[in-house]
Amino acid sequence: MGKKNRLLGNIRARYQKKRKSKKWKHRKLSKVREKKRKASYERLLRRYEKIRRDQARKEYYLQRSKTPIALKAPADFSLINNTDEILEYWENVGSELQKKENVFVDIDHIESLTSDAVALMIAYINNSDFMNDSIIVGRAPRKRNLAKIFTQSGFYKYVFSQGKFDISNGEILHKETNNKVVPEIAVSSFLVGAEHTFGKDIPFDGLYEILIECMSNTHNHASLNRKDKCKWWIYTHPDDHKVTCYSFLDLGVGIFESMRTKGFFTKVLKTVGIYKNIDFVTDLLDGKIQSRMEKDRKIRGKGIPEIVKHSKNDLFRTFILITNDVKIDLKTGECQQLGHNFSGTFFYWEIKPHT
Amino acid sequence: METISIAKDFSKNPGARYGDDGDFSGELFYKELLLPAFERAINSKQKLTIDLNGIYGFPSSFVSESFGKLSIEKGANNVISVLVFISDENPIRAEKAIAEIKSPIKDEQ
Repeated sequence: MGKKNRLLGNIRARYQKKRKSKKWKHRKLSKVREKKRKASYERLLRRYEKIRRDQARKEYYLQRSKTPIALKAPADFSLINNTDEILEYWENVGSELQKKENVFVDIDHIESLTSDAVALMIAYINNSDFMNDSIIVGRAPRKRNLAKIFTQSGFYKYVFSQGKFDISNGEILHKETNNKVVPEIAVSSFLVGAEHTFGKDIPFDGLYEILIECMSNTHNHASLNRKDKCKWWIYTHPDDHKVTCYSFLDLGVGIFESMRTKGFFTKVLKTVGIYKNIDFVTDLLDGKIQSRMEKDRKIRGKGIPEIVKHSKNDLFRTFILITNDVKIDLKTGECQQLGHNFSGTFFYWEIKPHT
Repeated sequence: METISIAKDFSKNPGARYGDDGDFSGELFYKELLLPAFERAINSKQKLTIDLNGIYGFPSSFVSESFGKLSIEKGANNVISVLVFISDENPIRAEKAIAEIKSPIKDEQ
């Protein structure tokens, strides 16, 4: 017992001696100092966050107080039918937003409206680069049938509550926030179209495959710097005549911008402006144009040719691709040089019942 | 003889090429199901049946990364001699897989 007590006493004495040493005191003190430093840093961080939030709030209210500039939309508010005018319109909206001006998107008077234009509008309004912390205001078109297209699309929900997935009266409007290929969304969109147009869920591989290839195209090619950076949007709109309209888009760099031609000379010639994007349409549709992705180059590039192949199916009434300054009718192969650039890729197609 | 039903054993909605593209990719199907089953079939000198019924579609990138990759790895003739496709709903699916196996490299198509 005595031996054990002596041992404990020794340990205690050694510890007490150690506690008096400079090294021990320094270590303990630095721990306290470190704790204080951390607490002070966190306080600073919290204060900075608060200042930043207050500043952002102030800027927002300041921005809100600015009178928006009214920009009158083209009477034919359809990207597919009136491509150049619509692109020019959004170019003007974008340029005002970049100047930190608010914009009143005046579509009150429009005479026609298609679902593709609604999809494009929602994508722009939800794109932070495009919005540049400015504000877009507007109201639905005066014509009742056009206003209905707006409300049915879930437009208000998207613009004001940043909803992720909405099905309204059998329509689908979806923004893929993870930027990936989501087969479940392809199935949902497929089912809406198949049930509206054919009356039942019939096997229609082409429609499903197109949706997957469109998502894959955005995931891999829409951004120059990094895969999966770009968001995609899909809008499935069943119209009143058993036709289902599909709009699939991303606001990336566009197919031609992301392409990489095989020959060095063509690249150089394109750079100096001898070749235009439209000159590469055939190569694009044949899958001969390479993207910037290096991996598995020899086996990749089958997505666009697959979409082109399916577009020839009689069940597709219309099939349009708009990317950069080119509009292509995939059913006929006709292309149109656009006067305005669309930074992104827009696929639009309609499915119709068997005749 | 072993059978892989893509709809039952993998997914009714096959996805794109790589795992990082999203769910149910061709890469995942190749690694998890197709390649192991193919090697078992080779070792046991039996056929491997691929049932393509019950799926919503058969995207090219999925086919390329699974059957195309298998063809590149194991040789087109070997793959053709082992695989048997069932595709009653849509014969084009089987034709697509066979075409991919025969020429998996884009430049050779």
